[in-house]
Amino acid sequence: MNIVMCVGDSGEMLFNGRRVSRDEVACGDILKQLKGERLYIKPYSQKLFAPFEGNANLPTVCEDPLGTASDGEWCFIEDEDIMPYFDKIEKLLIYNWNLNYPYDMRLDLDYVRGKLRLSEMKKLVGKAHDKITRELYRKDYRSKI
Amino acid sequence: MKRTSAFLRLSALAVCLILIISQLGSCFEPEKPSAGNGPSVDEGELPDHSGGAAYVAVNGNIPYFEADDIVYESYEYYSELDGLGRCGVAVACIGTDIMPTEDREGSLTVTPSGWEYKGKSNNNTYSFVDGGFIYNRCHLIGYQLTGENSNEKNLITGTRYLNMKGMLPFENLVKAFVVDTEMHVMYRVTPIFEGNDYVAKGVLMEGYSVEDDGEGICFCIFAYNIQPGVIIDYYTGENKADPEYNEGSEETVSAVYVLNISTKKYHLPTCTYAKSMSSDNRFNYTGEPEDFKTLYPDYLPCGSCNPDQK
Repeated sequence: MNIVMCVGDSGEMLFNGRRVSRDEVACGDILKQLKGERLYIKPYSQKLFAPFEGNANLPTVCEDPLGTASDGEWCFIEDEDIMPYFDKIEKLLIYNWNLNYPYDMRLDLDYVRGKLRLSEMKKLVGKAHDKITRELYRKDYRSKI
Repeated sequence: MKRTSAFLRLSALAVCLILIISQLGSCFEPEKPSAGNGPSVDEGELPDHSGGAAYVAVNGNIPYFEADDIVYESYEYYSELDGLGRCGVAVACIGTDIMPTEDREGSLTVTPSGWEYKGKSNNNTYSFVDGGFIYNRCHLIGYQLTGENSNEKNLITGTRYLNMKGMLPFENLVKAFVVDTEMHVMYRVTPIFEGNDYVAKGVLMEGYSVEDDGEGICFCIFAYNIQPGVIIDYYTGENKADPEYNEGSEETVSAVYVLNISTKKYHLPTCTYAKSMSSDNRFNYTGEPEDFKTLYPDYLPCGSCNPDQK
């Protein structure tokens, strides 16, 4: 299973039941990076991809992406703890906003960085963020950058 | 007779001009919006600080805005200073049209209440405070939201901790939402002073996205004007180190190794090469040293800092 997430600099995901940040550039880049691959999103995330209607590679909406995705398929996760699924992760694609936000749910980035290998890192200029870092982590250390 | 008539005409003209100018002047006075009356919160309900939290949710994270307060056009309003020279409510309907288009320039020279006491600056330095100085001139409504900079009605004496850990995350939250969606956010910051204190105990921050009825942004929090390790006299602003403070008690995670993903070398965080590394190539590894060898067998240790020998 592969997972894609957008988080703050300390892994911030949600505050008061709402995503801490958003950026159209990141969503467009997700569709570009995962072109030709199956991506599941929850109904909550649908609005983020609304500007890309007409894109041939639109995500599939379902209530339980983590329970639905098969090997090699992707889940876009905004409001769920991925740790119970950590052992199943093959690739983890993170868009880091490089800013701090308030949070009541976050991803333990230090754990991720200690258990998965960073295989690619690229800076993007966002619509609402000066710098977004795209980080691709893989379980298999032999994978090439 | 002619002279008297001319004098009367001139006098009448002058009176008219004065009246017109005074009317014009009042047109430029900012009209107080209904939200400028401030939240209907009982200050006694605001929680005292406990633990290490920089902020705490208030009123179930539901802002105190009334229906009439919610508007669809951008504006900003700052209360007059009170008799003690203290700031009051600052409120804005944040939209992209009032956001600054340039980075903030110049240092602030305003002296907010509590910044000095009896002519002596209260802005002491501490080794354990980020940047050294305990106090910042804290914008009630952050510069990134309205571009309001050196305005005495928008600046309070706030700790570095309040500024960076308490307020900035919420400003970031609002800014990204407004820029990405091009919607508006009602945003109100109310400094809470106890009695005649010159330094606020904290700020009540409220945010509510307008066009989507709070679906994107909805919060109501109290951010504490505290600095871990420092005891503050909120009446005067004077402060001193807390002898019982344990510096290591703050939540800090530092890198075990710093990786250069271009050269494929790893360094200690203290290494000169790590400090000068471009952020485009820099990656902080925060796991266990033994896991590092498994994950990054192709990386070589820096010959200068010799990370394997530490």
